[in-house]
Amino acid sequence: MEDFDATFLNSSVELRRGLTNLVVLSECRQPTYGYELVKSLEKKGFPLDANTIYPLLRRLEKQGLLNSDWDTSMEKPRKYYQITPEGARFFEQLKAYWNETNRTVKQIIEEQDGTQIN
Amino acid sequence: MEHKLIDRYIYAVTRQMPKKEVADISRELDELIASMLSERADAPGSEDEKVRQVLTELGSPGELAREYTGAVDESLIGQPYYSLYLKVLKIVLFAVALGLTVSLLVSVINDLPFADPDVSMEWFLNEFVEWFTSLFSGLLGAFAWVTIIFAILYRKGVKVDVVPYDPDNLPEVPSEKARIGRAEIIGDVIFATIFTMLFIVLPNINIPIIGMSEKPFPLFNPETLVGVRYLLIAFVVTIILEAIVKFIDGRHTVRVFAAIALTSLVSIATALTWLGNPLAINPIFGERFQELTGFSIYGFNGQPVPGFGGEWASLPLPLLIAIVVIVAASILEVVSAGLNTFQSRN
Repeated sequence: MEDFDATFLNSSVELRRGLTNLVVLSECRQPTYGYELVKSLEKKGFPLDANTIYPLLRRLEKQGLLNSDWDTSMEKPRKYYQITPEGARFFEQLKAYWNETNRTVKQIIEEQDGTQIN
Repeated sequence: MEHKLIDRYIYAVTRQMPKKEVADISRELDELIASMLSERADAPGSEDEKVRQVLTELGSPGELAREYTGAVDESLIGQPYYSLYLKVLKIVLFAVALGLTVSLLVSVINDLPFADPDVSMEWFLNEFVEWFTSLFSGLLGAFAWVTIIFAILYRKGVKVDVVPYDPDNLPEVPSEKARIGRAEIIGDVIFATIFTMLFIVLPNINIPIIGMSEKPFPLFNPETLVGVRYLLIAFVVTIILEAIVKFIDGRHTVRVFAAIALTSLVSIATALTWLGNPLAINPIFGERFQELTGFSIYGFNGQPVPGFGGEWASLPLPLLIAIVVIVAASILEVVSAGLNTFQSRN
């Protein structure tokens, strides 16, 4: 296959794109600031670029799923984001949908894995 | 963190953003860059190098700004406007090209130095260049206007009445017989172009007869051609119209049938008016032909053609045959188009 790696990268990015909101909302259940989120997701094995996360946080805030506060008590002021009640509700629903989809997809794949020997 | 490059970077990102967001985003980016730099505090290298590394890692300001504004606004004309835009653009460009060609054709014919049989190639080239430049600027203008209007509609989100999709409205797959191939349409256009060149644009040198006289002379009488030129133009316009309708519908429809009927009607009228004139063939040709072969081209070697009455009987025989063929072919075409339309509707 031509450009196997490029096609794979493309598909994996597409897959992860849909999960980004879920992961970021999950992390924001604790107050967190942008760079902390970059680092923690990297450590947990779901790395996202800073230039993706920062605009995403703002979008989620505009949509009312997150709110933010500048913490100026430190030498360098930081903008902390935290999930809103509306965001929490949204997160729970998205999480349930993801779990359901994940289960179904697994089932579909395993069914064929069992019948086909490649 | 005080650094000129950082300021320039943040300015470049936020330059096009709404004022009320600029301060907040600037502050946040400043914090992000500071965090990324402090992570590199113990790494070797100068401060300048580190700043460059961080700003490179963040990607171009344009990309980052687009992430902020959201990718939705990235296109000039997005769906569902884009499909409609393409459709309208095609029709408008087609109409402009046709309109400009016809109007320039008319003006060329009016400017044509008919009195002078030696229409120079230079004069003709000039007219052609003039046609080409006005066509180019006309199409460019039409393209710009349609694009601007649709860009505004898209930006403002104006509701355009796109016919809502309904599976029942899908056109039926035309039968092999009902389809109109591209070759047929291209054939029509090529015929119209050649016809226009020979008989409308260059009447004085339409089909040069060489060797029968000291000087080459046109087979068809230029004066007669000039006399019926508006009929000839109408004939060409109906052929082009027919080609457009065929192109849009791509099959035998009532509209295509109407266009074919109109073209046939005009072609019969043209044949009777132009070729029905005994002077349509250059009289010089008739004279030389008789001198060389002893046969007269008028009537049946000078005698009235049996079966035809009045002036028709003494027309030049080739013209009479041409008229009969054209009239018969036109009637046949209308009948066959009618049958095709009727069949494809049932």
